[in-house]
Amino acid sequence: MIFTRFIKYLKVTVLTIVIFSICFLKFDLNAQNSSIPVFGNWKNFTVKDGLPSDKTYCVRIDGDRVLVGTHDGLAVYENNTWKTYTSEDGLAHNGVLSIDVCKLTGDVWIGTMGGLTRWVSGKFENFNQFNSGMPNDLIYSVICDEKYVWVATGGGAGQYNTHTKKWEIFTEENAPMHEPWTYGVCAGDDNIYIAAWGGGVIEYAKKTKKFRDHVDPDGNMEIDLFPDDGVVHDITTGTSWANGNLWVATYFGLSKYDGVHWKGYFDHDSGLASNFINYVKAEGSVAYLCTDKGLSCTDGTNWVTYTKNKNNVNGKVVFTKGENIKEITMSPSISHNFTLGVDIKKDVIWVATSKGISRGELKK
Amino acid sequence: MSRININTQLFYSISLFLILLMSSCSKTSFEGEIIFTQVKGDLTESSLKNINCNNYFSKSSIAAINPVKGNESLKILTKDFYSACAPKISFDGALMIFSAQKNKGDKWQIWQLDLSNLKFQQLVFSEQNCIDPNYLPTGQIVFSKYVLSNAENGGYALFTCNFDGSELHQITFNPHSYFSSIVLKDGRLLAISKQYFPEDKKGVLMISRPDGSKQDVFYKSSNTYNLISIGCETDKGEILFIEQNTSTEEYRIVSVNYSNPLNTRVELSKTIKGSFHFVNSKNDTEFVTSFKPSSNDRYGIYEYNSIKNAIEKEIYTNSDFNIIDVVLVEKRELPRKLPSEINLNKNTALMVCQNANLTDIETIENTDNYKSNKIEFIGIDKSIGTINLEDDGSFYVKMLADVPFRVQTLNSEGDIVNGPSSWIYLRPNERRGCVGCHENKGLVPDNIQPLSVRKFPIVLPSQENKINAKKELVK
Amino acid sequence: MKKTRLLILFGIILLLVVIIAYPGRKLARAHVNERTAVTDHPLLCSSCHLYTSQNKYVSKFINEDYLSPFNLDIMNDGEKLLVVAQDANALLVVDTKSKKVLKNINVGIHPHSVIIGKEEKFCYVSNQWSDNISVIHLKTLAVVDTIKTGNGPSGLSISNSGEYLYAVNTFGSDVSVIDLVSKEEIKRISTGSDPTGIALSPKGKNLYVTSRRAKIAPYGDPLISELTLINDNTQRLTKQISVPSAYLMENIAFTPSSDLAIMTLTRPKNLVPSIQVEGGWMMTHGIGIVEQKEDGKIIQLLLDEPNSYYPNPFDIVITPDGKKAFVSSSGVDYISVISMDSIKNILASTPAKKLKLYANTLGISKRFVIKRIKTGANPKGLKLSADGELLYIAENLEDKIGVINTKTLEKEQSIDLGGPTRITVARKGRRLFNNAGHTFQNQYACYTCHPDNHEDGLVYNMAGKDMGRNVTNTQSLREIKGTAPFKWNGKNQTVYKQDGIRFSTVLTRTEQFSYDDLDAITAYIKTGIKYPPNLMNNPSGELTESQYRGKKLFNRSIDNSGKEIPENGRCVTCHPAPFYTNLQLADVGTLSESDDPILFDTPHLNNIYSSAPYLHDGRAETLEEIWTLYGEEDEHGYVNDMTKIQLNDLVAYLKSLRGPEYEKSKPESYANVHLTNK
Repeated sequence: MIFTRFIKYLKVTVLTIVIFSICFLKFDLNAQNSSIPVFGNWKNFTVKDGLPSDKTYCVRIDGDRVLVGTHDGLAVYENNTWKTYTSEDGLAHNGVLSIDVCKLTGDVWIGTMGGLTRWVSGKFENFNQFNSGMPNDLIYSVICDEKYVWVATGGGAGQYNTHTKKWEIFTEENAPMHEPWTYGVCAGDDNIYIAAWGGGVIEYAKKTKKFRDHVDPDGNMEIDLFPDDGVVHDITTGTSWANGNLWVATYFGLSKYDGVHWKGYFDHDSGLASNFINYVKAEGSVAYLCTDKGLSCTDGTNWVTYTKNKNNVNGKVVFTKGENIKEITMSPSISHNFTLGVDIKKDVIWVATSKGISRGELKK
Repeated sequence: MSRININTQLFYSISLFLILLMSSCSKTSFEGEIIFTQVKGDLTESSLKNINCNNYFSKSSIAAINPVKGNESLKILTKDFYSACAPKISFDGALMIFSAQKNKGDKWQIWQLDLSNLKFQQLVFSEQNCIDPNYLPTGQIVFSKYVLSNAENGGYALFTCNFDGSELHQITFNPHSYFSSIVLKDGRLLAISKQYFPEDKKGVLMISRPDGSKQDVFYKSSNTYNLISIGCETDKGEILFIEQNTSTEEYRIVSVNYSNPLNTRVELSKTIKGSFHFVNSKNDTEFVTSFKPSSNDRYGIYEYNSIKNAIEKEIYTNSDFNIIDVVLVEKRELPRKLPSEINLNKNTALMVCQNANLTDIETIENTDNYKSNKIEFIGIDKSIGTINLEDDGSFYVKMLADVPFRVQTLNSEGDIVNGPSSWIYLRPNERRGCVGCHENKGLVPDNIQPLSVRKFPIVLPSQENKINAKKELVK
Repeated sequence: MKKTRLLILFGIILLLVVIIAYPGRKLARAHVNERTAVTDHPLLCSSCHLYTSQNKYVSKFINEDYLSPFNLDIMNDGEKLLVVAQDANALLVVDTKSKKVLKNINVGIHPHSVIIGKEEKFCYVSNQWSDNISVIHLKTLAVVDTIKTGNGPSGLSISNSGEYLYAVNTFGSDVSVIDLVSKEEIKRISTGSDPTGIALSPKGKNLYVTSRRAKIAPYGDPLISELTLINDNTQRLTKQISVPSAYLMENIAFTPSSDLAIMTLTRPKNLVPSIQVEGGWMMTHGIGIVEQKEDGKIIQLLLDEPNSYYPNPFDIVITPDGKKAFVSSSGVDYISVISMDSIKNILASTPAKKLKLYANTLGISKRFVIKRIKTGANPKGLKLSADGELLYIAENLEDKIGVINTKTLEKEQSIDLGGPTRITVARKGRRLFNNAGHTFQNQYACYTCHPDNHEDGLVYNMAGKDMGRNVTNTQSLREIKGTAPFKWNGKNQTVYKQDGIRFSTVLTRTEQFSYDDLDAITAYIKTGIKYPPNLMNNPSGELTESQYRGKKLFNRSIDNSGKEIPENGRCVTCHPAPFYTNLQLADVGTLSESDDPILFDTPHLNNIYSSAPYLHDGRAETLEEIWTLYGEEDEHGYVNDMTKIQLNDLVAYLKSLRGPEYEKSKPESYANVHLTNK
């Protein structure tokens, strides 16, 4: 009797292992082919776990700790616990929209809805439009580029020289912007790329201090009339540069620019979860795209998209390559489909969503 | 032209030489001598009541002696006075100020002797006793004068005036008697101060600016000692004075360091048999003293060496006389001339306290019963007013100047938490700051803006009190 | 005829003599009375017209070129002392046995510190006013290289590995990390404000940087300065430690066992009404002891005594056996000798609450200061010989190196560096400026509130009438000649009056300066104060595009919409060159409820970049805030039509302003030409 039961359990176990092995073999194959890392073992954190707010806007992995920008302060995950810092601790504003860490000094720069904060060794130093030359207090994006800190704000882009303590700001007055509203900024290839609302991408050459704009050549606000003729739309939400490629997020699709050619990607012709892209992060050859319908990752050919079911914690991973689409169920999946921020370090990914933050591990 | 210049130069040179010659001729012949007060017979009761000062005796006289030449050089300087004592020498060494009774039964008055021509001049004409004068670096003098006060007894307050007696101003206003005042090198006045109301208290060394402002305790003797007289400040900043050991009845030379007087007491003459009545310094280690080797002897002038802790030599003794004080005729460095913030056209002053709950060591904060939230200001005969403390324990008041008061902290039930304090008075236009109540004397204010100074000062006595006072006056 | 002529000539001469002797003298008396605000200042023309002359020939005649030793280092064998001669822009190599200067090596401008590298091949000198490090080969005693740093390099330290040099940038408030192989700066680490002192723990790893200025905060907020902890291995900032109630933390040293680090500091009372000096109501001075154990505290102990203060403690060194520490009290010319065992006993035996109270207790020093040793004028940097037996003292205003035997605690013969023997009037004034002897009980010197002849960044409650009212921002003393009247209320028409009787009544509260001293201090303030070049904002005098645009805005008379700006709304009306002040009183809408109803003196704007906070009560933490937060009504210049870029340009221009001497013969700048042509 016991033996029969043991055999039965053994069969079930072996069958399960075989099925999972096949799945993951396919999975790995896809991943290997596309060089897109695939993440699973999602663990989600919300207010119940110690986050100050479920509304998370951005995430940055900083060594052994993870910095999460939420609607109600900066949350720091370290040694399996969350600690929150708010304006009472010295943060410029509780709405933390963007975070970057200076590679040289380790200084943490925090873009908030009410100013920019330099957070270093527990001390907060705040910059705002009143006490400094910073263009505007609404900081959508902050990046560190050597001794400079760049911000994309509601009133233009700003460059802060940490050595001379001076601000230089760029708006429609002195740069080819449609209006001062800027959403994203990134550095790459001796250039700074600013995602300017209605102005496409503003390229700033660090050496010559000259601007060049990349706008949608067809100028159509509804559809991308002529594919791959330039950035897909003038309303851009983010830029990220890696491996010689500039990735541009818009609310109307994704663009990739290799310095010569532009290529557009949309939800109807690729694995992109949605054209409504909140944020883009390029890491190596892969771009991670935070959309309103899940997180998509692509190297330009292959796509991996993570979504969550509406009614439960589960979701799926969708592998797309051309017409070839494969789906795998995940339990649990990411915390919410409305994703706003992502960061990846080695074998870990963190995704900021409008309902909690998700941590995934690289599936090997 | 050059010739004219030469002639002019020659003329000026000769003139200058003559002036120098003349000035050197008029130089005091007392330089290097010791001036002292001698009293014939035994020292019994002081001729002054209510002063507890052993330096005032009838028929006392002031004399001078050259310590090198010895007894032959003895000169009695105050032959024309019934009594004279407490001599002090001006900073340039040319004048001597002292207190004297011209005739028997006279009140003690302040006199000055020009040592170059031995001419006397009465500086102060008073209906009350004026004693213990001294020179101020500002060209004025300071002395103690008997005053009647609201308190049951009167006492000796400190006064200052010009050499011609003009600009006579009382500078201390609490019910204390002051005497033996000296001027420290920093320009402040140091005097023995004894509270006489509501009860008599032991004397303490009290320090204040020469206008009487910023008065504070400089040194307090321990229980077994009484302050007798203040000598001087040495070049090294040691303040020398005489203390009486109440258990042995011996009088000892004691020094405290100017920098930290409350914690640097040294009893210099501890192992010396005999008794000291007065001390003055020749230099940092050699002191000229009024000393008697045994109870059978009379006080004479002796030189004491503080390094060797020994009486080095006898300078002058007389079996008929006691020497009760000694001064050296010499030029001394002029103390600092302190500026004054006092404005006699005003009748109020300001006072701020950072935290009335801050006592000697720590803030009383554990029990509500011990935490006060009010402070009462008490005058000589009635309460001046009670005000609320700010949340940080601070208060800021505008008080009537030159009126003594004490403070006590109260809790919400009106019970006394701490106090009453020592007597305080503020000079017109003075602004005084306190760290706490019964504060540790070394405590400095924390760098915090008191809540009370974010408002205007509370005026005391309040309007209501003033009206009541007027009503009483009418009655 | 001849006789008549002679008579006429004689008559004219007589008339002239009479005029000079009577009305002339009367006029001179009136003039001197007006200038000095007293009626008995001697009628010496030289007081003002000679000692404060800036004519280069006169100046050369009446002044001397002093050396002013500031910091020093010593070779391991103790034979050679390297002395930074700040005013000579030189490093002096001194033989300690013969007590002779062996070589005078020219370095950069206004050198601050010197440090000998590992293996003693090179030494490095920080040139504070030329933003670089001179690398000197110790065998050839020649400058072999110059390394670029941040702004205002001062304190120096070598990494434990010997591969990196840390240069503290005082004006930039950061530390340059310099690779000694490539001789290039590899990164900058931010620090507290106005840092100078730096020390690496004997076991490596921990590097402390002290700051001199407190964090700018609204008046009434607690005063906090920062001590920066940097990890020597990672070269990253580990911790910014708040040091409450203290500033002017000049230097820091570790005990040999690394259990404590001790820094010098001053505890100002700027939030307390300035109503008296007695009882430490203005300034106190001491040390901050930084415990190195887990959760270690910073304990502050005062060096002062109840009636004697030891202001402006500058440097600290600790003997190799860890038994004694020496502090240079530069404001009273003393070295305080500290028993480290006593310090440790106090720390071990005192409850934490009581220790906190000790930070405000005069006389605690009696428990740990074992001797005070008199030095030459203005002792600054200290250095112990490797065996710890001799202490060398840079006597900054004596041009000597004082020597103390650390066992006997007696002075040995000083080393004369060979500076001028004549003490000029300005030099005397500088000594007075740096010495607290003219303050009641030596509680503070001019230097204390005006470190480096500048300002301390604090706002004081001078309590003019009522306490708590009329808080005032300390003003810089750099280049104030020609900017009279002085004080925010403009009541002092001359430096003489500023430092006269009222100064002693309300501030120093002791005997006023003698007229000789007043002449000297006036001469120093008006002619002797040097200040750093504005290398951060205007290194060459050539305006950047932004600064040039700012200049146009500063001078504009038309607003962005083309309307004419009323004359009193133009920057240049009240702030004309060369001092950028019209020397008039004005109302710029900044009077607060706690101010008496007065007008304010229009401040000069030269070197305004380094004078934060701004406005009479220091309410504007930055130049921007003058207009973003406090200029809403356009009362302080017409600015509300400006875009943010324009405001940034205006601020950039203001920060570019240097000393007035640059304004007199200002060359047309490159930017001027190019932008004008456009």
